[in-house]
Amino acid sequence: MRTVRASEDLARLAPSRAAVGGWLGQRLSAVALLILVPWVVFSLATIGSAEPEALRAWVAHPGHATVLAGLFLAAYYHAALGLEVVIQDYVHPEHLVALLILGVRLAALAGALSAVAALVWLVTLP
Amino acid sequence: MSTPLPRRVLSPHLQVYRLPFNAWVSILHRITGVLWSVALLAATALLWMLAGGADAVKIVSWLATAAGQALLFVLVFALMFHWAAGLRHLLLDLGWGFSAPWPTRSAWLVPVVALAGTVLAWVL
Repeated sequence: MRTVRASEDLARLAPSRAAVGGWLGQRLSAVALLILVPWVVFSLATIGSAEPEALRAWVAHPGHATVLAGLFLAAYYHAALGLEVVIQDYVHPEHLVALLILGVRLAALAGALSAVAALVWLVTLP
Repeated sequence: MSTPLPRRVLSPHLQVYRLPFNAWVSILHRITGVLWSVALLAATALLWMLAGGADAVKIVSWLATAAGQALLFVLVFALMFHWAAGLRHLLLDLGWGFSAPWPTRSAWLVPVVALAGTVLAWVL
């Protein structure tokens, strides 16, 4: 069977480079999250949810916080791209699509910056 | 009986079709993705609460109650479902699993892997 190289086909067909960039970015962030998500889920599972102080100490560990920052950045980027596709598929008035996508991008940017700021705060907290 | 049916063949509406399992996995991939876009904001808020102190104790100890555990279970299952369905999509993008039994088989694997992953998180 012929291997489908969707990215190359899209590059030839898509009306804009931006569309291909989003398609590729969605998949690159997905690959990162494929590893980072199980890491955080199973790490948190072993800590146990009943101990807020243990949770804080785990998150505030510089190594964990650094990987968590990467996780939050990848996740917000991935979410913004995914929501963009969902909005394009189910919302019809053209101007509303543009407005919602702008809103999603701004919210994702704010969320990502806020998450990184919180992590820096947690690490530097006495 | 106000409007008479048109005297021609009508194409059935989407709800009439029995969707193949692949289609359900695809729709749930989107729903769990949207759900976790919102959950991501909640996770960010939790980070700020951890930095703040008092509120974090309330939230984290509420998560240990039956209701909290139920919510957490649903959220983790949704995350694992999205993870497994996403992995399936990445493999399909590479051209894997297109021939006859595999698209359906891999679609059934998605909820199985998601449930296994969620249960594992609770056992650990």
